[in-house]
Amino acid sequence: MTGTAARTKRRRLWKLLVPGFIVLYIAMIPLNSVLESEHVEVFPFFKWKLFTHIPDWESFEYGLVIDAIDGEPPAETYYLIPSDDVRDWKALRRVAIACAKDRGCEEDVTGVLYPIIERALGERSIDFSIVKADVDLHELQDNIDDFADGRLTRTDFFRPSEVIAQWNTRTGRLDATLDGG
Amino acid sequence: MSLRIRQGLRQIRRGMLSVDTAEHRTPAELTRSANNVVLLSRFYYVFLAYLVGTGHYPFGDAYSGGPPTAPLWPIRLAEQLVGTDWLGYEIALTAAGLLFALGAAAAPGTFVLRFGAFLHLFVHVAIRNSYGSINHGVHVLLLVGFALLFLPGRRHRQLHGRNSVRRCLTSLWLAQSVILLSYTLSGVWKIWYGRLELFSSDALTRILLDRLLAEADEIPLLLPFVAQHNWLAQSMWLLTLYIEIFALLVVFRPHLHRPIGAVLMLFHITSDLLMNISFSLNIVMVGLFLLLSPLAPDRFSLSGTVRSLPIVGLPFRIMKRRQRSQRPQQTERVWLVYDGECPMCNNYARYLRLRQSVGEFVLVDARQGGPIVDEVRRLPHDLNDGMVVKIGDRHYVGHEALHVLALLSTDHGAFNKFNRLAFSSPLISRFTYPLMKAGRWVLLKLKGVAPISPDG
Repeated sequence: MTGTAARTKRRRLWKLLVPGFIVLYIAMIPLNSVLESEHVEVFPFFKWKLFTHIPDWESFEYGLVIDAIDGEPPAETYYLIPSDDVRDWKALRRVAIACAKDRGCEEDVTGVLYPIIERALGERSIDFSIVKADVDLHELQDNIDDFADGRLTRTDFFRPSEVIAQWNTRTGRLDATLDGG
Repeated sequence: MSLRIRQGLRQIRRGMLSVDTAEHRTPAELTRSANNVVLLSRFYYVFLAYLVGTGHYPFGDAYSGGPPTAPLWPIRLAEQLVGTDWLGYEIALTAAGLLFALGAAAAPGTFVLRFGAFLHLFVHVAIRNSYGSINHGVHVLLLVGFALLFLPGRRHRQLHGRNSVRRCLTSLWLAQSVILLSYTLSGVWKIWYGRLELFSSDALTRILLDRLLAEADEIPLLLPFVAQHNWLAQSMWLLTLYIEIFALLVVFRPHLHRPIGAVLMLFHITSDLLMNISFSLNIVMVGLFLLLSPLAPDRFSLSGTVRSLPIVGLPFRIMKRRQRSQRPQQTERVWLVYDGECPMCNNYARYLRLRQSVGEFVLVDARQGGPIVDEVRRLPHDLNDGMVVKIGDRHYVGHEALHVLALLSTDHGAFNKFNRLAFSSPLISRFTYPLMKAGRWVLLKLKGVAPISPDG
């Protein structure tokens, strides 16, 4: 290959770099599920799927309620999750969905939720429930100033509609799916 | 056949991606831009060194935190190859990262230093997104680091070499593309999942309130106000969608680099105040590679910016094209015959500046007479009905003269800018000229000066 031809070829390659990389990046998005089973993205090709879910005014959330500590029920409803750490809430959502769909969530509960509970309350006998609670965003909108002032907390807007599962950190699952209010 | 296809593709590319507002650059300007790219890369590596040196990258903390989920492939690979003990050598890891980043800032031509800095960042971002942790804020920093790997090496840095310039600019385009692609993808996903729901009048309000429940520990400053005003939330939402979806096009439109860079920075600051989402690294990257873009025009042009806007700028581009087609051909002289006794006409003639390419601009006071005035008098036009512009063999009278001069004028100074902006529209010229004529008549009356005599 002569010098000029090599230069021309190199120039063409440089021209293709930017569009080529963009095409590769976009092509990696549908390939995520083929190449990666444990994550939604193949590092470092991030999908940038941010804030795509638009919730309804009336939606629901999951919560982890502590029913008893060493057999003693707390004085009032005690939500351990949602907590300060949004990652705990995300973990709970994942486990709650698995439990609600009866996909066998034992491993997730012991592997993911037990460490969170033990981190917060120590290694004790703790009864807890995974609950589904209705949330009306209108109610939050109407009381947003009280919420901002700290007079109301987020769980004040939770209306529990279903107990998905109940567990004890020592003895394991307490019962099957219950419907309740 | 292939040539025809290539020509067709080129036309589509020109029409869709770039607009005809970009100025053509001389080789000297391109070289200057390339040097500025190297300067920007130095800023990038200094910033990286700052992040590494001030403990923004604690490897050990990231490793131990969060619920146990699987690590990303680079960390899994490292675990399999060398275990995880190396993560405990915090000081050594920080020192290595600092060394590479500072080295790359001092000598951006040395590939090994840039690659070392990138590798350190790569491992760090991988670990920050492993074991249950998610941090999208560092991704753009990493992708820009990848783009800067394509900067010319020391052996390419022959002074003003074309290869070197090409590599610098390609590196810049790649950096800008990866930054803007992240916004475009974010916008496209919103459309993909949100569909018509996206355009409901309270979409952002619902997202904000939902987010508020998740992040209740610290109420964002602006959220209570915005969540109570749907119209404000919706305007912000639609503007965000517009900017995000079309962000990638900005790469091809230099007039938009700075304005959209500023808007994106403002967007991140607002999201921080609204949702406690701080993409501070994105602000720095957008600031460096868009707000300080070496390819942005030296002077800000509002009209160029508006014309470059996707969809919104389309009617303005069409208008501009129409104006160009109406613009008279280049001539040697442009004559303006006006009333020297009318203060308004006098000032207009005095302050008007035409573009250099137009040729000589000659002012003629109609009251002084002369061959041009005699020529104008032979036209079926009374000089009291308006000024006359003569270009070549063509005469433009009244509002047409005002319009033609606006098209030929420069945009230096407030007067010429206003003149161009207002009267380059034939419609505005037509409707405002009678008012100007009336103004002249009043001024002449006040001065006690008679109208121009038709006989000279």
